[in-house]
Amino acid sequence: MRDVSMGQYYPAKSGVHKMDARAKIIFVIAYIVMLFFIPTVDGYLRGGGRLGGYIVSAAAAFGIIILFLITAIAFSRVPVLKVLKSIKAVLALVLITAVIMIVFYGGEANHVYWSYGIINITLEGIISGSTMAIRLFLLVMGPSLLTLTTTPVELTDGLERLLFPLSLIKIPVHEIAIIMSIALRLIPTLIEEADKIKNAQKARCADFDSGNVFKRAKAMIPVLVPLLVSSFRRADDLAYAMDSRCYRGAKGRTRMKVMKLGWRDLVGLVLICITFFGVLMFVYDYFGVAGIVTNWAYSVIA
Amino acid sequence: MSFIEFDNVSYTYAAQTPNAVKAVKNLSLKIEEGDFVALVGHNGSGKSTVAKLINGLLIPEHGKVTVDGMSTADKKSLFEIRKNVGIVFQNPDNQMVATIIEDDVAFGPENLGLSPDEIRKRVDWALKSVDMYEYREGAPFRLSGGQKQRVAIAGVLAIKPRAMVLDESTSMLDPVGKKEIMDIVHKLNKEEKMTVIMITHFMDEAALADKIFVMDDGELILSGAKKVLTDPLLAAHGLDMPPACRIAEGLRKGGMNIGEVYTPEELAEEICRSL
Repeated sequence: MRDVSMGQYYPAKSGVHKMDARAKIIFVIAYIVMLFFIPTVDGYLRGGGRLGGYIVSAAAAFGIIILFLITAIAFSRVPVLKVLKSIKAVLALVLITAVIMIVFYGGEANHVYWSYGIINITLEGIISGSTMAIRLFLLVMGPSLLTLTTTPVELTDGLERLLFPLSLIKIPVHEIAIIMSIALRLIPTLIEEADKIKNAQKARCADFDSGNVFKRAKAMIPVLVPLLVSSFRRADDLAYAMDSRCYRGAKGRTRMKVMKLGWRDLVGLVLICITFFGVLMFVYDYFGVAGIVTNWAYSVIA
Repeated sequence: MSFIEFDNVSYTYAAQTPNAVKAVKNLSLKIEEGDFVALVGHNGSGKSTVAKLINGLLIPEHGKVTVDGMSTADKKSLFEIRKNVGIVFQNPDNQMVATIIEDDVAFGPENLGLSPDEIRKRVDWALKSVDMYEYREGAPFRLSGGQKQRVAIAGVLAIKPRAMVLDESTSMLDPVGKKEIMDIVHKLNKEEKMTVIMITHFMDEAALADKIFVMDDGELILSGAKKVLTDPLLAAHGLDMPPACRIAEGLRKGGMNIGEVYTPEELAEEICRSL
């Protein structure tokens, strides 16, 4: 419980763990952008494409991204199950959305199976719903791998340095970063304190475990109020301690740990570029590659 | 001019409100560089306020506090003053900013704008001098109270101040933790020639200092060498003598020939000698 400040970080000595946090953040952003380059069925058909062509190019593009993700997971030495677990949180949402998309598909459709009022079950709808589900699952897994291989401290540090240009337009990037880092630092302390207060109240016969939800929530008030008051006192003390250690905000501040881009980040960059290019190749049909693959796929089916 | 000087200083919390509390009244004192000083008094005697006045966390209402000739009321010299005087506070949990021990120790020197190599050197040195070097990559919340307080001391040391104020820094620790801190502080005073100002309500800790200031109700009631610890005025202000002094007094009444002692070690020696 006290390890919440470590987030879901999975400690391991892998190449991905050792990569620069800034590089990893940028790669994850590129990965997300990549996922949205793959068009929807409706958009593709309106652009004059064939359904078969869509299936082939979307499958190829997703395949390339999945291949990239698998490579990244393999290099990170994080168990695949840990990454898949991140899907659990969005599973219900994704399934409901997919079902709704399949049932109420209202776009371009040539293969209608069943139709009644606004309910249209079509092949296009089914494909559209499933690509959306795949897209969302991949969307969750990429950033999840980032938080599995990067500590929250590295993440805030990386973000602070990446967002540094924003401080030129008076956005207090440094202050936001230090607030985040202090919050992370205080989580275990506050949990410990909440435990202490709870035990003190229990010793005076407070009852936290019986009654319905509302009763139990109400029983927490005598815990939360002292916790709030003491956290204000802590904040005061901390401000004194920081002042007395020469803190003046970002002004003239240097850092002990310098982030350095290394060969691992270069490897990552090359990999993500290849992947991105592969995706674009199928989406925009460079060198007629989608057509070639589609024709080949048709000939196999025939 | 002395290193740290209080010239007729007063401070009131929540001044100009009905809840105003006069914490320090017309206080004047001088601390020389390299001194080991103790400031003793009850809870609420104003001694923690004095700590915050020393490096400009609080600015005196009347009078003047100077560190190495610089006044704390001058905003421009505050940074320089804080580079010279560091404070270790009471609760170690409330003075740590980072989730990793070495990052926390680095916080001070980072604020000074030093080069990464120099910061690394200072952090390693500070952690080694409080004997916490092997924990440097760990998380503070896994440490014991004494260890946390040692990290807090390292955090101040890494700034390389000339004086260190310990504001009841041992009061939340067990006897083992207390001894660890006192040993480190003594070593710093002897080996690094660091000025130490120890604020405490434990008379046995005060007995370790070379010079003692006693405060009550915001006023300085006694000051001087160890001798003040046996002053009859202490009792009048509800303060006890250090335990060793009390035992020595009892033994003297019982007819034993015991000299001037302040610490248990000195007492033991005197008893052995007189037997």
